[in-house]
Amino acid sequence: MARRLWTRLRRGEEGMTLIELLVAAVLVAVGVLALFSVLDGSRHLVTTSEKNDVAAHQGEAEIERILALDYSAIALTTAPSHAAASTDPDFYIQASGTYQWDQGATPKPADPMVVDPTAGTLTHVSTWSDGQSRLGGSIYRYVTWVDDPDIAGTQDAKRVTLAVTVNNTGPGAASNLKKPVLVSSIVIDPKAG
Amino acid sequence: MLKLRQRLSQEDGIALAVVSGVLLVISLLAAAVISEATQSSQDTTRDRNSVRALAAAQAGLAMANYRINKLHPADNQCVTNVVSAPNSGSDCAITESVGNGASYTYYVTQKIAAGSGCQNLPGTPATGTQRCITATGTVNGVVRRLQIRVSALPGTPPYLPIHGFLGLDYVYAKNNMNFNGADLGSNRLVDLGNNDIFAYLQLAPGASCNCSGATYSGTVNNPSAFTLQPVPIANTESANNNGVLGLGDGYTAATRSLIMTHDLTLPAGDYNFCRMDFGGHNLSPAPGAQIRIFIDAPASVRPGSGCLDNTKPPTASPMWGELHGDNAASINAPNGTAADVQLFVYGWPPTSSFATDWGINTVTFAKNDGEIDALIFAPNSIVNLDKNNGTMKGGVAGWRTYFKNNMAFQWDNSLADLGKKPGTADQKGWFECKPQPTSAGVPESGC
Repeated sequence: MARRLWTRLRRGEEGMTLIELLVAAVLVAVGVLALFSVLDGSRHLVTTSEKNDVAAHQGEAEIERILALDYSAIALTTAPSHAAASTDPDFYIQASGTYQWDQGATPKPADPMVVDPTAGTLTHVSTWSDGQSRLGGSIYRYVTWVDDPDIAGTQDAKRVTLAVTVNNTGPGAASNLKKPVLVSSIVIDPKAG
Repeated sequence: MLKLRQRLSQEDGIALAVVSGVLLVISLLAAAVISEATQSSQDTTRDRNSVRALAAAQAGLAMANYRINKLHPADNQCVTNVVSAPNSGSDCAITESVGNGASYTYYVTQKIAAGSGCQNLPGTPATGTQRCITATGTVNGVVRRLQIRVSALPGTPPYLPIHGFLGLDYVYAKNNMNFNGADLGSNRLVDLGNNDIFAYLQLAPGASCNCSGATYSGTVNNPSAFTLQPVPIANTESANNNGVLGLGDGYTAATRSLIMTHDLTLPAGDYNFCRMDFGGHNLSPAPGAQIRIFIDAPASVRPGSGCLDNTKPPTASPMWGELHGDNAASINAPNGTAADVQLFVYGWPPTSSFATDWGINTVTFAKNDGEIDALIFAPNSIVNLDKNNGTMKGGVAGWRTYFKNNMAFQWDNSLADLGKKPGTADQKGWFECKPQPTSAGVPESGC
């Protein structure tokens, strides 16, 4: 059988076009499938990038807003509590009421949070939405005391840490942000002296 | 040529050739898409790191500014996390983490001349101790670099510029006064009598002393006139601790009048009265407490004080805005720490129409054999300490001050730095620099 087919192929006889077409169709199908796979992966990557990008700029705008506040106003209005899920930004709040502001360091540095129901103006969590990208999410705010060991006292400055998450709903929901975008800065009392 | 046209016309194998071409195009498309997506992802990561690096650089500027304010480096020093003294023209630098892979490095100069360094920053001040702070924020290799100029004006001097007894216009101390090593000072005249003993005479330019018969260590010529800082009374008319007092204590809340009816021990805090009379009683702070008592001025003198105006001539006794410590009045601070009882009298300018109508504001303490442990700070007032064989431990600053009759005065060093505040460095400009300095070894360059 194979010998006869080979003989026919060598001779360029009839039926050859059909086989060629079949092989060509398979090859094109494989190529197109591969292209779709690449396109899907690329779309996933681009969507994740867009989420990261929008989240980073939400964080930038929020940190600039907070740094412009009066020093006394930079405090949480209520004390947030620990969350059990490791994907929740509140997972890094410890039972003692401290917040682990460096989540990759060992040992884990954690400082007391600044909570002032009277003068504080920062709610712990608020939602955001971006009309252009049609994305939305949450901003988690943490304010902790900075203790400069070389200066007397334990409340030398305030560290502001923002965790910006993107809600995984709507188009591109599958492309989750595995981690929130974290933005940190430090603010001081300009009158301290 | 003919053979080629024949072979082409046979079309054998052409499908595979076309498919190969299509696959090549698909591969190129896929490669382009992958490249574009990867580039987009990298750009986004870089953008995110850039945002975080900027926040980290801001943190570096803030910490450098804070440490300058708290550690008060001398002009030829700067700060890392401690005061440091590098070679002239060199900076102090330190790198610290902000967390989650972000860090900052800041560079602080020694004092720079006004108008030099940080040249491109706007708002160049002409005064104050100026320094340039440059901070880089770094996240995963992405660098943002910021620069600010800070300027620290001279600090606030202590309430008492001399360790003892200051009368801006006049000091009178006669009849066997013993100041036990305290200083006397004035902008115009110190008038002493026989057998007065004190440490140094401190005179402003043009001032003089009738020092005949007095014993003292020498004269210090102050290069400029003595000035006193304003009475720190702001907001105490509403934010005060007056609520601990009641009618039984002689306190009338509606007029903030305290005419003491018995000895008082006050808890820590600020008190604001429109007038106060010791009524011959004793005032003490609670153990470990520090109290500040402000005698406010009538509202026509200090708008917003909420205090009544005096009539012309005044009929209220004591007058609104005055402090009287009549016979047998005393102030006893635990351990004699004068800083624990601070008396501030706002008064009214001694040459104003108020003084014409009501007389010059007067603070009076008169007692036999008693003790006063306190700061008396009354820049607009005549302060009378007329005590027979009494003692005072503390310090006094007034417009005119009088000591009489065998009184003993002792300076209390707890007042030495009271009211003193260092100058804080304020940010005067902000600039984002190129990520790397343009001159090696000059961290301020490229801004």
